[in-house]
Amino acid sequence: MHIRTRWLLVLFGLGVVPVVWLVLVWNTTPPPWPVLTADFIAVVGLLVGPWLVLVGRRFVRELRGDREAGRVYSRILIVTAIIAIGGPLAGATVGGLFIEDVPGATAGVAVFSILAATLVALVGAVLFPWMYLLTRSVTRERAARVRAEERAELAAHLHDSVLQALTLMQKQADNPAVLRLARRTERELRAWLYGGRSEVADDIAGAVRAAVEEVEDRFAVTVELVTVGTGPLDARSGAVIGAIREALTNAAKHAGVRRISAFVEVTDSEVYAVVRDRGRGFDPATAAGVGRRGIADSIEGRLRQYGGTATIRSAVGDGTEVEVRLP
Amino acid sequence: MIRLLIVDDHTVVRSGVRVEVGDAFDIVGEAADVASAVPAILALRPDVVLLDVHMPDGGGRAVLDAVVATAPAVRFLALSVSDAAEDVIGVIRAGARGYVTKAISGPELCEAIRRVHAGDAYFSPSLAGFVLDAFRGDARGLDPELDQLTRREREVLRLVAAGYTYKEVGAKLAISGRTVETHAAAVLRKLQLSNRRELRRWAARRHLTL
Repeated sequence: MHIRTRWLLVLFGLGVVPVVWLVLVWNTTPPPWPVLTADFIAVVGLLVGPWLVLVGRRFVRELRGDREAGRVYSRILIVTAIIAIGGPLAGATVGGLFIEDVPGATAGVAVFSILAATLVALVGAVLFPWMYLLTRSVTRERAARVRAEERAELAAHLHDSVLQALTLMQKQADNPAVLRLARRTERELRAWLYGGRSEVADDIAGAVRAAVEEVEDRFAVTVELVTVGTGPLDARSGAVIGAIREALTNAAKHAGVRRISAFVEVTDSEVYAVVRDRGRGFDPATAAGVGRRGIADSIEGRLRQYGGTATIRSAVGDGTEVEVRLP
Repeated sequence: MIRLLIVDDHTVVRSGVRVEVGDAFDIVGEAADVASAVPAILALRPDVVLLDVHMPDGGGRAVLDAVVATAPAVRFLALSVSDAAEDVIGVIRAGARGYVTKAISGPELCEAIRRVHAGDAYFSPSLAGFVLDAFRGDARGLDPELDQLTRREREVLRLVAAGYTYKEVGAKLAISGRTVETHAAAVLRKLQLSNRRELRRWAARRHLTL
């Protein structure tokens, strides 16, 4: 845009040159009509031409598909060309054939027709299209604003009524199917209300969220997930997400409670995650604990090869806590 | 007994809260909108106001702006279903001492009300997450007293975000419960007074003035 503006200014400056020349030579020797005509065409061409190109280009770009406007625009251009070329030609013909004795008549006709063509071009092909585009964009902006307002109103309403109802349902429902449905609907509604969440999980936070949703759906539990920061998905972060998923599944299956908390923080130096339930827990020393210990080992195993650690704390009646760190 | 006022535009929520905490507290009144909440707070002077974030005509924010200066002894606990950072940070900056979601269990809500009444700060896990998020990264050139969290405050917030109670946080970090409360209060102060870019950006997005 900057370059284009600069070129316009250069052409504008060039267009002033013939005008200056004409003023300088007019008093001493008025040029013959063909030179005068050529001079006028140069002036007009340089001054008006760039605007024609600019507005025309934008017009064509914005109204692609609008045939009616395109037809009107090209008609205006044709009329302009006919006046600009036909005027001087007619003047020359008339002057040459009949009124040879009136000096300057040919030049007058030529200059007049060129000025008329300029006026038609300026008004028809620059000013009107420009005003048209302006009004159109204003109308469009207004329409977009109205749409945004309507959406905000709708969102506020959904938020106030449906989201509240879904939250209350989850607090009071005992049927797992109802719970699952309410939770899933709440999630979808939130995604729509607060937007911005892509469907495909392409970062750590997104992948953890997807894992949480999967566990919630499978086991009819509610996971209170808090994520801070995020990072790219790769084999290392994949291992953490796998560990989180396993810890969540484990809690959902064995803890005997419906609520699980999960916290994941991604910083420059490490990924830190805690999965915690307030369920029945297990005693790492007993036989039943040994079976659960196996799952713990598999969580630890996933991380060890990347230099991460997992700490699992549990006591009977006191819930289970899985803490994961990957530098 | 702590005197409680419930401000929420949903009857279901008000009656739900009554059922859950009615035995533990003296519920002195209810208000269903901003216009009736302000005179009710000024007339009844409850100890704690349970304040819905989302209500027509400005929500909890408008109530706070109208009464915080004239009723400094009244404490506010924000209650919301939204869990959107902008909403939550907005009411905290306006003067609420805590924030909980409507999915909170009865005993937890009672605990939150008691904490706020005692002048402590009460963070829900999601609020703790927002704070960690807002105070992430570099704070060079900013006021280190207000725009940075200490390592300890960070550790406390992480555990709160992971769903631990203050007592459990204290046990895990081998510090007293009172120290955890002190850290929480310091974080609340920073959240209310900090000028960090992330906070201002949230505000700008929601057309709030912080």
